Amino acid sequence: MTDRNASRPRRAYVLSRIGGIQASITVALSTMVLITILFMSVASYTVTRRVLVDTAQEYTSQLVSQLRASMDSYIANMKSIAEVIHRDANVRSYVNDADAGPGIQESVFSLLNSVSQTRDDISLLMVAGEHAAPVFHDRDLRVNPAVILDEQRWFRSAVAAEGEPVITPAQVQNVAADRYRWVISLSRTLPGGVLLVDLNFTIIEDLLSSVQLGTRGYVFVVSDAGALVYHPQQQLIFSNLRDERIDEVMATGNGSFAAGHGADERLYTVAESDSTGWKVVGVNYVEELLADARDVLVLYVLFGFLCFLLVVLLSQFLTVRISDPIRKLRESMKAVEQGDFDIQVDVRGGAEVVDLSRDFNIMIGEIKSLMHQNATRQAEKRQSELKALQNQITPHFVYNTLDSIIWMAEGREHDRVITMTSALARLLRLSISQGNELVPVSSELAHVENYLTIQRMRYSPEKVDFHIDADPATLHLNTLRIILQPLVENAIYHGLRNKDRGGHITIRVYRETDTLVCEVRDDGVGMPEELASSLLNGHHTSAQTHVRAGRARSGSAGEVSGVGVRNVHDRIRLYYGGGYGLSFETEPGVGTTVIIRQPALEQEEAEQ
Amino acid sequence: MNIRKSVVVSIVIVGLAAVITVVIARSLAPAHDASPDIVVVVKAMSPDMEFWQIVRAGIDTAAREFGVEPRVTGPWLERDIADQIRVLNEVIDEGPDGIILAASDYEALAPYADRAVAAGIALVTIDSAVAGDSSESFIATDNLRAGERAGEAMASLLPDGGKIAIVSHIEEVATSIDREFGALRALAAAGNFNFLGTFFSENTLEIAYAHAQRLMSEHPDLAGIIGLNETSTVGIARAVHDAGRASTVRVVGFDSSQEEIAFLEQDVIQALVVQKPFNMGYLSLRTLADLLQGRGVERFIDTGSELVTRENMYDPEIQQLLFPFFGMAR
Repeated sequence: MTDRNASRPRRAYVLSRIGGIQASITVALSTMVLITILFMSVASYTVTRRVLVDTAQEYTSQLVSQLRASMDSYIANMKSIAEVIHRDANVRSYVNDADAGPGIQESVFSLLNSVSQTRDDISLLMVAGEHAAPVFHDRDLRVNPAVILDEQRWFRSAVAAEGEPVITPAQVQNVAADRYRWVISLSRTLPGGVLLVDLNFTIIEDLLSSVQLGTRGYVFVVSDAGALVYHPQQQLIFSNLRDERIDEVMATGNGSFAAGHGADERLYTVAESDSTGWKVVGVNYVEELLADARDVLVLYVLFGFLCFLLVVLLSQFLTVRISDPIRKLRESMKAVEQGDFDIQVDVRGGAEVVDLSRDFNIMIGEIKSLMHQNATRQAEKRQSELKALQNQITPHFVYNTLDSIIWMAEGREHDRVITMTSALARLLRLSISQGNELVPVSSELAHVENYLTIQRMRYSPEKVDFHIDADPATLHLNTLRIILQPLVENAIYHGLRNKDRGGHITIRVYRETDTLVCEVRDDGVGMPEELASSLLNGHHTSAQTHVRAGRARSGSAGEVSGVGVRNVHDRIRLYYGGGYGLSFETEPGVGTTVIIRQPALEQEEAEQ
Repeated sequence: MNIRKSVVVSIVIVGLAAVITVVIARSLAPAHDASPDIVVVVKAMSPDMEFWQIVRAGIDTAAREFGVEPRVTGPWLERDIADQIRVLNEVIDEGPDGIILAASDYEALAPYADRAVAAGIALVTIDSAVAGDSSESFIATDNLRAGERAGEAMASLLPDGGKIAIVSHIEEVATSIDREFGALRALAAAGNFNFLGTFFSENTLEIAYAHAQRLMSEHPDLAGIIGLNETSTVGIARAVHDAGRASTVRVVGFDSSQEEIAFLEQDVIQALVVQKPFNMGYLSLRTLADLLQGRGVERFIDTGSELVTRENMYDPEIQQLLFPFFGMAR
């Protein structure tokens, strides 16, 4: 087990075994974590987004309301200044009375001057009549000679309003010479004249431009007529480099709406002034508002990754605890597959795994004892099989011999009866005695000699001539019992009996290094090569065909001898294994040699 | 053994994931810190140079919109070519991402513009171009068209033609060349003018005044003078006003200043061709921002011009051009 393990380098766990426990755990946990994170990210992003937009809108709404209030207070202040001037008796008489003296003009000037001193947001105060020269709050100011009052926008709208104060949105006031200032004008007619209060637009501009709505957000003001009073990008709008959603703003009283999309998505918040009808609009870029939401998202992604790492770590440890013992068990099983049943698994881990390894050990023990039983049974079976094969040999020969003896006895050939009977007796003794599988070569040779003696008597000495040539060094070696006799029998029946003049059988025994070789050679008719090999390989169809053919010529003994040769081969192979057994050298008309190979074992060795 | 191995593997994974996380977090987080470094080199830094102050206002507006913080620098006064070269060299050495340049001289600044581009700096020119094609985009008034407008205005003021002269600022400056060519083309188209020549004020009021005075005394029947920039126009208007020739000499000028407006109101100047410096500033930064983000830009962007007369000067759109909020607030 360990050898196999060491020879194959183990890969990193994470990457190995897709579909293994490790992968399953990792995938399951990761999926869970990822889905959770995804869901929470989306949910929290949505909530954060809404909260941020709501908050921004709330904030912007308060902001534009404040700006509107500030602007309203400027306008209200202009109105109250206008009211003061409007009511002033000196002003009225100066404007209305063509004969008003310079004293009145002076008192009008000091009124305007003192009023202008009270506030620094006043750009210009002016009173003028049809017949009265314009009076400014500042003595240095002179009427712009190029200006005709009646043509001025603020003048005309004041006339149209018939005594009510009129606000003219931002414009450049050019009524005073060499003085061009952006103002918001309040104009109001007096009996016989007009008064003008100019609010310095810088005040409004500073107020509005200082507002910070993110970095890109801005505030603008639209008049009740839909003209831009203030817009930080007014020039771009006039040049059509940018368009502003004035129509939508005009359609919105107080409230908000969203416009554009993507990076240009903007949130408009509108506050309308009751006194002027002007609308203060705060514009937020949604993308900026959501920068925080994106931070939250980033946080979630980070968190998600952290969780993911945790999952990877966790699955590592879970794997070590779960799949490692299982892997060890599996390796043990592999070893068992290879035939190693002496394994005792000692796997530590979870209770289940410990149980499993204990059960595994029990199972291996069971299998081992079963296999042992099986092996014993096989051995017993082989033993009995051997016995059966061995026993097959004797009976028919004994019957035939006894028949011959009977024939001889009937012919009163007493000497031959005695010789044959004593040979048979020795033969049987050698055959039956001991019950031992292995016998010395000498004993086996004695056995076959007795057999041949009997056969010679049954046929004729001329018909069956034999010669035994054994190396004396082999005589004490062990050989399987009754192996030569069946071959000799076969030689007689197939080789010699069909030969007209009889034949010769030579038995040679010698040692070839570690192999004990016995040869049985006849000079009979020989046999075809296929028959020889079929005799050994057990192709019964062809073997039987030949045997049947043989029987047609030789009677009932042929079948038995064919089986006998096979028995010898099978027995040797059963006893010693595949490397040993019989082989044939045969040539039709010349003869057959059967060679028996066995291991050359001394008697003591064989007993072991 | 297994535990140790898995711990090592885990540590490697944690390390990798940490790096990936940081990278992702960086890319997700908006690039607050990565705003490009942009330097604007104008022709004049002096607050008296209203034109450049308005250009800066436009740049500031764009800067706010596109989230960049450009630095504006340049020589104090407009004619200081040497000083602008010095400033530009300093800026190039700082190695910003982009430069917006208003070249004081078409030829003299060209090698330095090339140097900036060679240093890998994106270059956009405004108002006045440089020789060569170093600049990716030129954002300016179409001065040919503006000059033509001035010429056409003069032609319509003098349907019967007459003696006419042009006072320009500096001979070699592209704006001067283009405006002169445009004006002459429009006058030639009218066909009945006797052109006395183009005279250069060297951007000095007194020289322009002197040119106008001399022209009026040399040609009692002088019908009109075109001034091709603000100083030239004011110089001419003052001379015409002082000579009491406002009723006989038509004046068409360029740009807007309080003095020019007063002369326009008094009918000393009959028409002014007004550029849109705010747009110029705004568009220059927008174009450079586009360029730095790898978007394609146009080679030339006309910021437009407007013909202002007594009649339309208080229209809301024109009012904005003549009296930008900017000039008011300070």
